[in-house]
Amino acid sequence: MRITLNGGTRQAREGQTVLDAARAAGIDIPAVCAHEALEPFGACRLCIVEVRERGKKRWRVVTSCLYPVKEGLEVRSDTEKIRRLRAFLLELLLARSPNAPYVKELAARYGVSKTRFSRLDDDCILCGLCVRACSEIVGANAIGFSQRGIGRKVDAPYGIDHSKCIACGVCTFVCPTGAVQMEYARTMELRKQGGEHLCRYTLMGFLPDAVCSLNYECARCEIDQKYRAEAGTHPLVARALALRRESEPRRDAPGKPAGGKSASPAREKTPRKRRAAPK
Amino acid sequence: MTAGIGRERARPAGIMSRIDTIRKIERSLVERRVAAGLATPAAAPDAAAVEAILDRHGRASEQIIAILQDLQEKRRYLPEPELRYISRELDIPMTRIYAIATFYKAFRLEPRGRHEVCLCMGTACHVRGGERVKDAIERSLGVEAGGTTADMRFSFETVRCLGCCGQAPVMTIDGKIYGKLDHLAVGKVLESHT
Ligand code: SF4
Ligand code: SF4
Ligand code: FES
Ligand code: FES
Repeated sequence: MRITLNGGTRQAREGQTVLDAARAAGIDIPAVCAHEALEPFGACRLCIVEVRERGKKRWRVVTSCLYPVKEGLEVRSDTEKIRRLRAFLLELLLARSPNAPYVKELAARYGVSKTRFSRLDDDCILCGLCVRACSEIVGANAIGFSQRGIGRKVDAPYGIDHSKCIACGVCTFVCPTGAVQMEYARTMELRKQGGEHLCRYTLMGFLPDAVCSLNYECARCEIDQKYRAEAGTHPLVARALALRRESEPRRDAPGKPAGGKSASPAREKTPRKRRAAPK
Repeated sequence: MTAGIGRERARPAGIMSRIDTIRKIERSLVERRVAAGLATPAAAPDAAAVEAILDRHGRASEQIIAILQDLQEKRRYLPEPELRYISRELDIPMTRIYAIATFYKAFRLEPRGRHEVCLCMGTACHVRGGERVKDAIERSLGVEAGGTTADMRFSFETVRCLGCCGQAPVMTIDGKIYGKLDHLAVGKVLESHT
């Protein structure tokens, strides 16, 4: 399939998003809430581009992380309009998290250094990476969103229910701003209270059930470093990426039965409609 | 689903088995904490009532909002044991149920009083002295808007326009309309509800 990216013609694959295609072409698009090991989410809106479908006159602003490529699609990622809208979004982010170095740097990269809005001091930009990682990569579903509007936040059920967290640390690993942090001391304390000693690498499925020689003080554990060095990232993220790559070709194959209902090719074309079959 | 995380993809088999492990560990952790006297055993849900609601909606996880609405209609709030029961039965993570329950203002996670007092703070009621009525109700109940009295007699809520501005200022108690309220007399109306 052929699409036009900032004037140049490019080859793109069915099932790719505009963001995938643009990244493959080396075009810089800030995409804060997109992660290669996770499904796109569309929370940050920073990945906006202008697109024009074949045969249409009007250019539309869309989020590239959610927009599937189509034959003959034209994409512009660096127009005056996009720059203006993006700067506005960055101002909003800067107002929410004025003290987060990540946000400051990101804004500065796109020429935004101050904000006209009243400031909060919340490092969490609600990108949902931690929530999705905990659900999609770990499968623990320990944290989610709660409330809405300005009160929206990342939270455990009832604000305190930590029973599903396996202390794997993926949430802190994927969080761009460092808003989610582990409290190892507290986690360990809670586990000891229950009379349960659990190694997080056992819970992640990397180690067989074994007794820890370090008295479950994960901070001193070398396995941690070893796995990270081996994987070059968080080991669970590495595994999720590998699983993804494995399933990738099958996703393109016609009549693929796996992963629920995808009999109609129209469904395959729009990744945003893809859903797990209800269990 | 709504109000939280969007798409969910089919999980690879390796992850499924880990989820089972996590569930097992979670159960054993809770049991041990209860055995050690560090936690109170979770209150038992009213399984029969929840089952009836689940069946009415075909036990379909995408019906979760309707299910929660029915549960709330029955119990007037969403009790935690029941929510956990639903979470287990429909295989919807508690995080997502909590996200939905806190997203919609219509859902409540706190028990409600026997009588629901709902005072209008819409424009018409506001200009006709709604604010004063609000103060009077708060004084006489001893709770602020959104609260429930300690004796579980009243829950007090404010809304925007009940749709009968002609009678402003207006409130409803358990759905019944009380119009042309007077901040001096409102206490009497409340008194009549035991
Ligand atoms: S540490 Fe792991 S299990 Fe716990 S909230 Fe973070 S991602 Fe979820
Ligand atoms: S805590 Fe971090 S990863 Fe999670 S939503 Fe907030 S900014 Fe994103
Ligand atoms: S990366 Fe597309 S909306 Fe965040
Ligand atoms: S403003 Fe109170 S009923 Fe309309």
